[in-house]
Amino acid sequence: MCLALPARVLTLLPDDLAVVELGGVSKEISVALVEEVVVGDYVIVHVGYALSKVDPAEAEKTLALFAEMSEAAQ
Amino acid sequence: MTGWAAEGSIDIELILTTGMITEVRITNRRPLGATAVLAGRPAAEVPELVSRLFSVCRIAQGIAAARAMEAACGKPADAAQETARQVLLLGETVLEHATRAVFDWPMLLGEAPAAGEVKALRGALTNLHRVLYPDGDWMCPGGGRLAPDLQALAERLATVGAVLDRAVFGGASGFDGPERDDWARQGRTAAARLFARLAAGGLEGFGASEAAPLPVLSAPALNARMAADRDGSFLALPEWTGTVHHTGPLARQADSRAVARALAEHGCGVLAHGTARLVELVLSLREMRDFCGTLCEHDGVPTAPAEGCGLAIVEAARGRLVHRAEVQEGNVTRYQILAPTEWNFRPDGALARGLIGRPGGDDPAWRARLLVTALDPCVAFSLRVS
Repeated sequence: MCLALPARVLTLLPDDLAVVELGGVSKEISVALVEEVVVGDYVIVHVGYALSKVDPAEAEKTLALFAEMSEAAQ
Repeated sequence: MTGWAAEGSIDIELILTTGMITEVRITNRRPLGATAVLAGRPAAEVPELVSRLFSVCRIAQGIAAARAMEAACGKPADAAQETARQVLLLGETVLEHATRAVFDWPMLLGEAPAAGEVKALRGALTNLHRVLYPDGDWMCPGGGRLAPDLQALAERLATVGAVLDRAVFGGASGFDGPERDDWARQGRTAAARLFARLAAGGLEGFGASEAAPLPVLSAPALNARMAADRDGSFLALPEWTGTVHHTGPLARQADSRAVARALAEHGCGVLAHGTARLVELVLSLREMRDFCGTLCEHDGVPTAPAEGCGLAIVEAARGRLVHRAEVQEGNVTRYQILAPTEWNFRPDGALARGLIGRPGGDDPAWRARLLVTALDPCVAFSLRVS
């Protein structure tokens, strides 16, 4: 199973790079594989690359589910 | 577990003695317990949740979950729904295989990956479900509102075909023996150049092992095995009747002429893996085109089990994917996923067996990457040489 979570785009950088945030932790990734990413978009990140954009409402639901998962794991 | 850690990884350490790989240590950090969050959820909602959480291969995951729910209530979806699901599964397989060929394989050669080509493929295939299920209910147990836009589908397949011809096949007439060798020598695409590099280095058989292709498994036997797996050891370290197997394109396409020849000439090493991926890419796109003629409008009959247990087996891009659900009073009480990565990357599995006893050459990590990429884990991997 390939768990991948939506991260919010904070900053766009040159060379198709971007800073995204997930769970309060920022990370630089590549957005070279996705069309027209803008600040505020949610993207599915896998192995350092954004794979697709996600509707914000859907992203929030997924993150809420993940938060439950993390709580249950503790 | 933080968000970034959730994805997990596979950490691989190679131990070399006098130039030979003598030991391979594999640590699988994938979050295999993630399905626990599905317990207590209404059965009808679970496929949608599964497809959102496990979104790298979301089509295979969503369809496996829908079929598990249908199996739990003994009501398979209509053939029209299954045809549409097959088109979506094939689309995901084409996207994954093509991405290996135009993105990962160039990186193995030290070339720039063809990000623009991946972007074009993703534009055509990532949301293919919207072309078939305008309401987004493709993973609904019992099926969704199937209303295929055949013109849009044909346009997307034409885009994909053009990218593959340009960036992967590069005029190949086939991948069998002399045709494959001529194509590799011409080197028009990264795929061809990788095959040529394998031949030049005598690495066609690199990574071959005695791990057997995963055969058809009896669903009742698999169901019983998973039901008894209370500690999760089978899901983490799968084997079948004591035998370690590999799963994926090579296991599926072993009987095709081109793959059979590669196996006969060089064993189940990286050339056979690569050939199987290309053969499956050709076949999958062809099947998608063939299915276009049989897609039709159909309203699914939403269904959800009240009580029961369901097992679903799906051939996902990376290999055999199995979902199993137990349902009571309409809610899931236990959910299990057996994923292909656990077969291929178990500590004594196809990767480890394919590397141990092999010469490391000038760059053992590069050689190991060849086989890791061929076996295609669904998470990031790290490689360390000791």
